[in-house]
Amino acid sequence: MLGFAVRRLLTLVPLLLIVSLVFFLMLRLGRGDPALDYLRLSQLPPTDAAVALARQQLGLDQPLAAQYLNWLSGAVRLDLGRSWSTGRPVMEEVLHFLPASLQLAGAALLLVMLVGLPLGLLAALYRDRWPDHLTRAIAFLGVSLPNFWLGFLLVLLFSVQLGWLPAMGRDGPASIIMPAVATATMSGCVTLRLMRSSVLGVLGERHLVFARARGLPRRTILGRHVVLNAMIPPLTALGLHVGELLGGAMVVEMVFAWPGLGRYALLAITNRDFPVLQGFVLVMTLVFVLCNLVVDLAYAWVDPRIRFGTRAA
Amino acid sequence: MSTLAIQGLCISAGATPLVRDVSLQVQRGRVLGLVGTSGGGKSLTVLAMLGLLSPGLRQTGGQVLRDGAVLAVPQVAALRGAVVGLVQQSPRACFNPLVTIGRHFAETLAAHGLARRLAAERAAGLLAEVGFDDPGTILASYAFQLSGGMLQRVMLALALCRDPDFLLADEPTTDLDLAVQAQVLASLEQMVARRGIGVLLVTHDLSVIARLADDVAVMQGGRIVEQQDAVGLFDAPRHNATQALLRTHFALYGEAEQ
Amino acid sequence: MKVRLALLLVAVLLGAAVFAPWLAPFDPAETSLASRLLPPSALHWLGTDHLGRDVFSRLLWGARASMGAVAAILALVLALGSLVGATAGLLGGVVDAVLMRVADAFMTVPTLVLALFFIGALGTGLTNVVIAITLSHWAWYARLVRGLTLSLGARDYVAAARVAGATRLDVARRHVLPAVGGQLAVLASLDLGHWMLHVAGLSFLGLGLAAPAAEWGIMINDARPFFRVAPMLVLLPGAAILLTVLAFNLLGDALRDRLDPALAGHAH
Repeated sequence: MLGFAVRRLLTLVPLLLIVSLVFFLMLRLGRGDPALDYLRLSQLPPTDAAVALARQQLGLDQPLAAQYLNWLSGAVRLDLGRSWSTGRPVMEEVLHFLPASLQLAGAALLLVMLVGLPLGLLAALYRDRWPDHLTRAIAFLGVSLPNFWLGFLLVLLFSVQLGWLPAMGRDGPASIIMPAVATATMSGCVTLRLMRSSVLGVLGERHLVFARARGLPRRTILGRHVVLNAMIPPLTALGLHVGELLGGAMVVEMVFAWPGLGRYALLAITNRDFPVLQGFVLVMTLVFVLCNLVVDLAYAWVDPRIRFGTRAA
Repeated sequence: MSTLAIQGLCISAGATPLVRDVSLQVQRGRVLGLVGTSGGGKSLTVLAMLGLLSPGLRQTGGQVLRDGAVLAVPQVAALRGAVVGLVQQSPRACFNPLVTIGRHFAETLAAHGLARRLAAERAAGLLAEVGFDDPGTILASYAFQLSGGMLQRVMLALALCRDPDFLLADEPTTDLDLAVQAQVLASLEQMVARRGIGVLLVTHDLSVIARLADDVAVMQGGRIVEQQDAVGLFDAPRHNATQALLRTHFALYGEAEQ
Repeated sequence: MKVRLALLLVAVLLGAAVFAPWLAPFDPAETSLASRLLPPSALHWLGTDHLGRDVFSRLLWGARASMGAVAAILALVLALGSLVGATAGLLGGVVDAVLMRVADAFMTVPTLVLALFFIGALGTGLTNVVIAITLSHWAWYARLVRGLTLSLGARDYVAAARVAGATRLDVARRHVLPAVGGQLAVLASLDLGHWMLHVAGLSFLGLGLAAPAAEWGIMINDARPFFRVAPMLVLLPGAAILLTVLAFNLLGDALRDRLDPALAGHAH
């Protein structure tokens, strides 16, 4: 297992490099003059002398390759430069806001697994009966809902009308419920549908017949032979969902004034704060890729065929 | 003499009848062969004896009897594993790919009330009985790491680990090469001799019948068309389906038999 | 049956989008401080917003903006994906390897993060939103087209066509693309809903069209300060988004069931 993890980690390094390089090029070759943005954010008048000085200080007069390598050498030492608007180290600010976003995305992921998987199982076991129809209808609705709109709806119902939950902010366990639900709904419904079809597939398989023929109790069959096997496709898909959840969390943060990376990044965009943007994408990609790795490890832990590097016939 | 029987079995898929009024009886200590061309309904009969027909099929008639007494549905379910074992062809598909062989044994024996450690010993013993020199390695392996022939023998061991009185073997040697076939058949023979179990052996290979069966039933088009003891069947086949089978068999394999 | 219902819904929405200039009773940008935050009435079917603009008209024009964006994304994703995928599949070798690595990179980054960055680098506006969403989704299509190109390339009739003198481009155009078309249609129709949600979400964040433009996401953002007083201003545009995405998803499901039953057990 460790070897598997290490191998996967190694393939991620070139991926990160390519990602950061492409984005670096996009930034530098995009519209606008970074020097002007810098001056604006530092609240300095954009005189010709100031612009020239800024260009020199920021290394903008150097060839692109050198600029990238400069940034890269800093990034490897965990120095992502300083924000042009606040002057504080980007790494410090990102690490300040990251936990809140991770917490929200994590809570959403838990909801996806704890609600989506069992409901999908339920829908499959009661196929074509009312629990199936009901859950499928809800799932269909759920994948069509904009998560921020759902957030507002939840606030309207549970905060304004019923007064049960706080409408915004991050304090106390109750404040994470609505944001997590809003973030989790789309992925939860997709997982539900996937689990349902996966269970239906497993139910038709021959190893179930043999399991029953051996006289195993229903509970064992259901647990070890149906659910365990059926969970594999949804687990693989979770890797994709992690990205959606991280992104979705950021949008939902705006609805609930959740102090995460979402607002931080948005400000950087409006301000055109280049160091923050570059660092932000790098950190987010890293986080996303690490989460994917964890999901892959879980998947390998469950399915021995992946661990041993073979695919069953 | 302990017996397991199915009487008047009728199975249909939608409006099409697949099995028509089939009655068979298996006795402890004797091997009943069930032959016929493919698609004749033999596998369905086996599954019906354990109440394991897939939901798309309807069983419109038929009862399972043990020692002459009719069994209700839950009693038939109680037979599984404990009184009647099942072995099928293409064994690879019958194993849970995510779980070790040892775990397959453990859960089967747990259903029998046996604790983990005792179960491991029993499993190792059974694997030795079917001809494995190193049961420990097998128990630690996953299904995808073993060959088809090995899996067939493991399946046999699994089917027998709860000491059933009967064994339903549905084409246990199909898809296996000759050397492995011989091994599996030898294991089967030993099981019958040592444990006195009654076997229903489904196959389309008459040489297997010739080797193992005491009695033979011939199925065609979902019906039993002939049933007699094995020697009688080979000497004086009555139904033309049987005769056709024998002709084809000898055409392929020549006259030298037994 | 399902396909027809879905197509009908999508057609209605498309109609609203295309004919908005004629269907809308008011100018969506026309403000009237005297008529602010009015409830629904005979004059203003769905009331007015905080600047006195007619909500119904703005919803119609919002359909225009949103559907237009999705249509643009569809065209771009199909074009870019097919181009890169077919190129990689037909040329193979180094070109294939490089293109697929690039595709991998784009597939790794979550849509929103990529959008945030792309827009951060190149500025806000609906065009950049469209490009950003295109960039984060084209890779799937490229992989699909590449895979199909490769599998078809091994087929006899392609070899026969090549022997008969057809160039690789001919092969692509006449043999590969029709077979690929069906699967692309299924994939795209399943994605339409996602794109719609991304467009709305990014606009909600203020990264798309700027106010005073009429677009569903912006309308929700604009109405946030008035949420307690006039919740409908937030809920109505959201309902419009929901309806549109529902229609797209229905279409996607129906097409998938019809055209590719093999995928029917597969949730995207």
